[in-house]
Amino acid sequence: MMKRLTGCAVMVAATSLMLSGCGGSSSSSSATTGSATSAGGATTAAATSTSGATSTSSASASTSTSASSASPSGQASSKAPQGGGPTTSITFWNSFTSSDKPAVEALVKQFNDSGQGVKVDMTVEPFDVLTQKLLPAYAAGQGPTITTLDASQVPGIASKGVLASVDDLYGSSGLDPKTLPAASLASTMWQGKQYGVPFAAAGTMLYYNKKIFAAAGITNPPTTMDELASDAVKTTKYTSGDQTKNTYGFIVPDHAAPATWAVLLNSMGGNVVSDDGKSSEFDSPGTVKAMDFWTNLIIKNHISPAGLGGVDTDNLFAAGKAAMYINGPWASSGFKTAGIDFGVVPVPAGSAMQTCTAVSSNMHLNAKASTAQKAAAYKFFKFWNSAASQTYWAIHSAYPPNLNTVPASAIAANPTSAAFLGAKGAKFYLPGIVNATQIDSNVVVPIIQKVTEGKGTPEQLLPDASKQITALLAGQ
Amino acid sequence: MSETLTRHARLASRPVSSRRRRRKLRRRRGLTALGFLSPALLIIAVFVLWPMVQALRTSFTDASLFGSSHWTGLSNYRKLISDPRFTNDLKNTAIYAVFTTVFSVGLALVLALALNQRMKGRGVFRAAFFFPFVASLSIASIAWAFMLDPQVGIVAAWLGRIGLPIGNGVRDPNWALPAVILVGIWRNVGFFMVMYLAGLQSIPAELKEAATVDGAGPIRRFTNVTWPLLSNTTMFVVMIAAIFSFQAFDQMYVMTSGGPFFRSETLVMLVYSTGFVDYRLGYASAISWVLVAIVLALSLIQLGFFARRTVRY
Repeated sequence: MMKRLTGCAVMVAATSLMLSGCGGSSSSSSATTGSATSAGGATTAAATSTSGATSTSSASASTSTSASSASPSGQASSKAPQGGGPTTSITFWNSFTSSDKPAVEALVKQFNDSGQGVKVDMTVEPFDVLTQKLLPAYAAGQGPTITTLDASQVPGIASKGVLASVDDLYGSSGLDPKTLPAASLASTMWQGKQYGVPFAAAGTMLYYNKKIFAAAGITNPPTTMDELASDAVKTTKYTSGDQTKNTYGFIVPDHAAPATWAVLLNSMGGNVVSDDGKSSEFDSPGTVKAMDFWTNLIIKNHISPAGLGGVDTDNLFAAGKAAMYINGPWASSGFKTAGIDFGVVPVPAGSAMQTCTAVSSNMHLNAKASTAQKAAAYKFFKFWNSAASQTYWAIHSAYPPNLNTVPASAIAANPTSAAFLGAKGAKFYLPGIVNATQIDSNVVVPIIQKVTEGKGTPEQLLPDASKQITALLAGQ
Repeated sequence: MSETLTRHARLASRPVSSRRRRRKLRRRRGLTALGFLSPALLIIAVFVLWPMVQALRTSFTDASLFGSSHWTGLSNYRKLISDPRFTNDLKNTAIYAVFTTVFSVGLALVLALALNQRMKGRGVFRAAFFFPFVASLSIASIAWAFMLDPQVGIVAAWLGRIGLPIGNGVRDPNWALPAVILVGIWRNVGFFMVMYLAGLQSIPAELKEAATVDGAGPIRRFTNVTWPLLSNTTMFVVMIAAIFSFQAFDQMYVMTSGGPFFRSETLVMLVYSTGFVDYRLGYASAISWVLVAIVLALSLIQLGFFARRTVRY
């Protein structure tokens, strides 16, 4: 009897472990990851917005664009390029899985065909999958030569010593930092060294549904936060019970999207963490006041459901059930497909400042790259940030160009890109903080969800949350 | 005379030689069995037991993905006791396990009894109920999240129309856990139903006939014949259901990401987020081992409980 019991116990333990392994591996999809604190996360999550099913299908697909097969002549990588000398192969991981993917692929192909003796072997994977794989890959010595990261991830990953500084890329023979997005460069500095090269940059803007505005008798989009709040109340149509007929005035995501709450707090003088990233301001009077203001509108006036993720907000806006929300340029293509008559304006000014979330995806070099790989990567960095490439990028993606030397007239073919040149006061959410992900997903998101569900007031919950943030800032 | 003696001697020696032969046969059979089992044993040893031992070792350190790790003794386990997120997730896991196990097994039995009758479209119904078990849970969870969405979901709309609003759907702190429990039940009930169908069909028909002849009605037949004879199946199904429920991950990850404010986060999700988002491998290993200990203890209790009720026939 005892023997049978032990036998069964071992079997049970073995099965349980094996099954738990299965559970993990089968769920690599999904755009609803809690770890996607940042805009980069939203880039993948939100861009396939109109249906969750779309984001899964793109999530499950991981494409590897082999440059040699893409080149028209079918040139093998071992052949000498036009410039002479052998071809250097470098790997490039990024998470541009959705509507911007063709533009990235086309530019990489242009580069591989340009005869510079470099073959970029690109792997495109969803943001959360790439994030999960990256550090283990570096730890195993299998990391990519170049990877894109969201600016918020840089401190956490650079602090592990797996990225190489690219200080020597900027200078007389390289890229001119004055022509590139200052916020992107600033956010990829780590301990006094430059680690990033701009890949895609934009500020979030306010999307508004023109049809809902007209029906509510509003002629112009809001220019101040007070106007936004009153427009939100006017455009909200809410009945409890069957919520499928509701319209929401201003939907606010609290996770897996570019940080909208940080913008709302900043506009009224609040903040999550001080701008120097050193101390928590999550319980400051400005934060409490701003959170009270918007929470009231959400709970009492029902301008937004609570607990929305980035995909939820995209779906609501694409279904014509939301009058306004804040997001980056990638969302626009889904709304065009869905036939929504929408406009895009800068996020309105608040009582303290006019700001929006800076979305910045940058390229980073592997610390273990050889001299030849580094030279090859630098060629690609310069190619990507050339005037010709950036004009192509701005026309074929929804992003504005990285280079401020590209005139708006050159990208007039794509009004969305041109409009996003108008984003005002772009600020990074939690810049330069190693534990940024933990601060957001373990403290800020749950607190906002509690407050907006009416399970506590900012006055009650923020002091304790602020202590947790202080502990995480101290690296505990 | 001598002939008879020889025969006697032969008769006397026979048991000895046959015993030896039997022992030899048994040993040979054992070797054959081991031969057949060895590939599986090897795989289990390399891919299950070895990682388990490694994880146990890691759970006593402060290992991260980078940098050296230090031996910290029981500090990770001590931290667990005072970690409110761990206790919250333990509670969620327990609630999830109790509800999914009870309801999926109960429902499976009812469905199996119903679909064991002769009826039209029986195969279609059986396949339909079994389908969720073979479909990808991640994808099914996305579909469920959509259907239960209070603003755009069809199930939410139906429920709202008949006066059963589900609040803020899977984003509602009161509904997030019930929603993932519902999907957990929906997922497993077909598999357990098939197990019960197999159990029902292995019950000899003459036993039921005998009970009928003795004047037992359908309820007596079930309580006195069918249910006792299904006890082996019930033991298997309940144990597997409990183990499944302790490992639930996919639908929470996809539908709620454990939210809102950890209301639907289970222990496996905590292992995932501690280990693969925060890269605190030591702490994550400690949580995994607590989970292994819980599942092991629970399974032993169940074995002990059912061992006394097993019926052989």
